[in-house]
Amino acid sequence: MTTIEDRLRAAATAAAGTVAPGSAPPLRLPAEPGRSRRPARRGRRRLWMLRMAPLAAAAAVIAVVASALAVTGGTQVHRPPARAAGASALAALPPYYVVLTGNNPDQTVLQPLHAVIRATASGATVSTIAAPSPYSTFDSVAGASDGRTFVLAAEKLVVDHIDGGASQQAAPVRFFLLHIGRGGRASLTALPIPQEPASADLAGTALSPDGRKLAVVIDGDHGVAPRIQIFSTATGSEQDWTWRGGGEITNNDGGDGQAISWAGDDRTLAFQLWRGRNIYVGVADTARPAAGRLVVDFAGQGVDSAHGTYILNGPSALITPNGALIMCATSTAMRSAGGAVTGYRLGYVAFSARTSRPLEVLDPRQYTSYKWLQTEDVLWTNASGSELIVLMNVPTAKPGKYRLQVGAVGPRGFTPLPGDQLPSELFFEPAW
Amino acid sequence: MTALYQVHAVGLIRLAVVMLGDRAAAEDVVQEAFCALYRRWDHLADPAKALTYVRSSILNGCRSELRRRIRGDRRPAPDAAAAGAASAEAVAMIGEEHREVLAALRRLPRRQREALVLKFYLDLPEPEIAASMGVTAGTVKSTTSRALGALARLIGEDR
Repeated sequence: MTTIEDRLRAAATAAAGTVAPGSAPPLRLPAEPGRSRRPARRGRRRLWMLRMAPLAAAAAVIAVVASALAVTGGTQVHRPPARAAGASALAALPPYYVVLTGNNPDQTVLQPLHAVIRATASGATVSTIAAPSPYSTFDSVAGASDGRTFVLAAEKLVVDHIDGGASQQAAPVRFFLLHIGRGGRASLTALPIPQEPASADLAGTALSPDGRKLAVVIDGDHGVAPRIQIFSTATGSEQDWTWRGGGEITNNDGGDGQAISWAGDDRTLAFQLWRGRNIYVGVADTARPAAGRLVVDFAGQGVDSAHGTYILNGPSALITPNGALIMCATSTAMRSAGGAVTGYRLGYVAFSARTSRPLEVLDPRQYTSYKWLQTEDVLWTNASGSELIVLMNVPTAKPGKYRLQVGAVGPRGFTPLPGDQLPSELFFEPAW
Repeated sequence: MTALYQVHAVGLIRLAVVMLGDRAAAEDVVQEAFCALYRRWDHLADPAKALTYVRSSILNGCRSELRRRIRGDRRPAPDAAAAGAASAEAVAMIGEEHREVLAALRRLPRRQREALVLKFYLDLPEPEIAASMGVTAGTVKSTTSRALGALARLIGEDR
């Protein structure tokens, strides 16, 4: 039997074979060695590496009107018509979001990251905040539901240079509360939570919707049971929740996206779990030290439904604050009679947090020129899952080519977020 | 350094083609990587590690190229018609089955994609993959495992 490894090797070799021996063009070097434009590594020790994506100007976007599709309804997906961004579609979103970015995002270098606060409805930059001394970089950000309260993780940026590469050294982490007041005035205060030691292998953070609890994942790689620390943001007191079913708690990338998310009861926490080569979404009852269950099983070929097999297409899986749904970006392969993939159906699926059944697909789309598709994601959900902020493939002016766009998905369809928020960044993990 | 290019240029262009699926862009990335190496040559702690250095630089270049593509501001090739023809020829050389795998590979998050290409195309040992990606050997192991699972799901392969 041909394994996936064999197929991958064969495909990569076939692609490489398009470059004939001896066909390399001559090397063209500059006349004099100039100032070093150091191509240092962006790699980091931590698994929560930021995933930055482009947010291009809304006016230039061919927006996609979306519609909710009941899974049981059997409606065919469609390519929706273009429409302009609507302010009303953005009114229901949190007022601000925070992204972490470097001073020189055009270069792939390790650099200190600062927090940029942006207004969701306008895309305007409200303020930029550097990590307070003695720390030099922010590593993660998590938001409460009011769009004004965030927790930032700060540490010293220490870089290891190894064999021409570079990676971030482990360093202790301190948590800070960021509050955005009226008019966008921001204040940053250290939380009473104990500093995380450098040896802690943090894989993600989540702030409860009311901002009272901070969850921090210790991912449990290398045979250690994964653990979630739950801190009171008011007192710094800690309780631990441990998963005893094997695997590690991290997201569907091993680095990018949200691995955990809170329901609004300050008790239920959704988490992504990798076990072997399969990924699951589980629900933890954090009031009990080890109580939890796996809800959505993306093992093997994914989650079967009448509409095909949903596979997890994004790094994040979020529980809605009402605790009823798990929201994920998914894709489903379309196949010819001979079994070849002819395209993909992409969308945002609401799985029941109780029964694991897929209940609804928000913004179903069908792509036949799938070569240029990229990973989508769910970045934020409202209480009921009826409004999302997502990362979506949108068509470009070139037929069959797509690019990623952040926007809102709801009953009115897809509305791109305005503003050229992060023109140079490939990977990002904004927090709403 | 010219000798390094002569020996490894085709292999490195192939690596970039696997990552990007675009010959012209792959050549640009490799050229840029060697220019960066040239600028830094005197500062290399160990010239014997130059290949690892340039490979890391190519991975960075591929990320930047993908970033440009996502933003939709890729500069047009000097000879777009020739590039198109070359691309069509390359497509014809790769069978449908391989194209499906490659399309799925390029849909993976970038760290998963890099780990798979370095391991299963270049057959690099884990420490060398870790050095190229700037992560620990343990992360290479877990990322590769996840990436294979994700790839299998994307192409609907029953494992």
